[in-house]
Amino acid sequence: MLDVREVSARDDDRILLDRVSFTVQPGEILGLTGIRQSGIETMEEILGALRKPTGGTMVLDGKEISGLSPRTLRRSGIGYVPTDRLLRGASLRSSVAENLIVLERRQLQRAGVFLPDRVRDYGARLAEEYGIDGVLHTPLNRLSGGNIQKVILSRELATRPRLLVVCEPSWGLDVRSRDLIYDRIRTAAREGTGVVLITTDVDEVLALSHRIGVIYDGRLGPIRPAHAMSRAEIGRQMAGSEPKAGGRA
Amino acid sequence: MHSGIGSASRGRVWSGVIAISVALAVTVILLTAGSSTPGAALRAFFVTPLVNRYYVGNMLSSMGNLLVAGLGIVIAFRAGLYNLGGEGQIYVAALFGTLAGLAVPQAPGPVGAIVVVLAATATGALLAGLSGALRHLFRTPELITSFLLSAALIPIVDYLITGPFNDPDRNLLATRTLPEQFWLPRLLLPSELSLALPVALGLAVVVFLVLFRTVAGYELRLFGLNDEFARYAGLHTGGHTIGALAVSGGLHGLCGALMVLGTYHAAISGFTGGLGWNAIAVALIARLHPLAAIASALVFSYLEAGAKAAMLHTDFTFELGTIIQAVIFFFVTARLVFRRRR
Repeated sequence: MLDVREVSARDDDRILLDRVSFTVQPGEILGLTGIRQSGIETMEEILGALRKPTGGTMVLDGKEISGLSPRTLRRSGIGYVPTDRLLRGASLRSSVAENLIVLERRQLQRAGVFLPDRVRDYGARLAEEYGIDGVLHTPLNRLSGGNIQKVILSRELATRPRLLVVCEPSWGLDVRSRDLIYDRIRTAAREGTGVVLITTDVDEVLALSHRIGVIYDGRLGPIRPAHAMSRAEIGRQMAGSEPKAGGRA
Repeated sequence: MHSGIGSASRGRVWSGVIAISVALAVTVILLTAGSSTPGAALRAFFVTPLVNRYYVGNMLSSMGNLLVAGLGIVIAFRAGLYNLGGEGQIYVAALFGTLAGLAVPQAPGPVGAIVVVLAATATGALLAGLSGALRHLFRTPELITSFLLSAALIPIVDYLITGPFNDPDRNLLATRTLPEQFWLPRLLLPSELSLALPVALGLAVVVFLVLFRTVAGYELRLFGLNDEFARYAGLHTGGHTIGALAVSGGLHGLCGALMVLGTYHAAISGFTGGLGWNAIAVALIARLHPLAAIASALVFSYLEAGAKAAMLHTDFTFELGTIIQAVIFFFVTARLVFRRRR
């Protein structure tokens, strides 16, 4: 499904990512973790079309996607839940409904005019499915962090993306919201969506991923099945104490 | 149950009311302190604009112009873009609309009027759209380019009106008068009020429906609220930047056409008189809501008419209108700054 080969990124003379390679299969959750400034932010930027890689290729279902615009990436079937959810993930001063419909807006109109019943039904269905508190016309900034994250994730998954790039999904959330979000990510994977999970939270990467890779100093270590990784081992790799290796799985 | 489209952006009106109330309070103080006959000055300011058909009609005519130009600002600001070239866009568009109309003197009335409207609207759209294109292609701030372009074109239009296109048969710094069959019907003689006002009111409703009921309006507002998110949601950046500014300029151009067809029947040197700037205040007081802009334009034109009346009928010598506008601007912008700092 997603085949990332030898992807590199540089910022002036600094190497941000060094020949990172991995694959993601349909229905698989691949966890990429590391400490901040280790290169995981750069990986998110590349997968989210914020940054063009300086080398390597990224192929989704046979189509090269590296360097594409966010608009084209979206159309290629990639869902994206960014780390900075308040800046890139949502429009805080828009209503809940306006945030929910953004990816499906073309399906909710006729001749360019929104069909209110369809918009209402669509929003209500997602709000109910994800337990989003607050009515559809509530401005998003009046919702809790957990509810905002539910809005973002429900919006992304409602389009049934082929690949979901989800970053720090439970950051700042209460336990109930976190559990619900984990459940929805697992369900999406069971239904065939490939997931790239980018997180600095070791517990999170262990709880959700099928396979895990640790990025340290711009390099991706060997990718191993989650059951073969322990918290301590991930911690050691995140601190760079294990030998760095260009991993591929 | 509400669908939720367009709900969150419905703003509070109180801050706009406060801005106007404070402006009125300052006006009363200035009138009382600055005139030897404060009672007469106050009466001239507050009552004269409403005493007869002539004053009321002229005030409503001015309101229509302010409303159309204000709607142009609403569109641009809603898209998160700053079109500060309204003054020049209205002026240039009015000239080009007039010249287009003069080029088809034998055309039937409605056809001629449509020619004027199309030429003026296209001129305004091109001028503002150019700023949008520069922003999209070179990241040049549209705030600067729209303002500078407008500032550079105003003296050129002045020259064209007073020079090559001046009407030699009149002692006016104006072009030749449009054929009478093009003129919009007057609604409240002897005032200037014409069919332009109902057109402006209809436009406010259209802009409201487009902004809050259509996909295009939704996308435009989304860009204005969070362009970063809009980009990541897959919306087309360039189309919205150029498109929103072109529509904004187009509305300014239309304002120029309505002024020519409804009120002046020619392009007159300096006849916009700060309209493009006042339109910004109208849009901001209305909190960028097209329907609230109707009330905002009415209040603004009332204040303007009152200021003119006070200067005409009493010994009040200050540029009262300018002071009142400055006070409104001050409080409206102070409110915006305060909101951002919170």
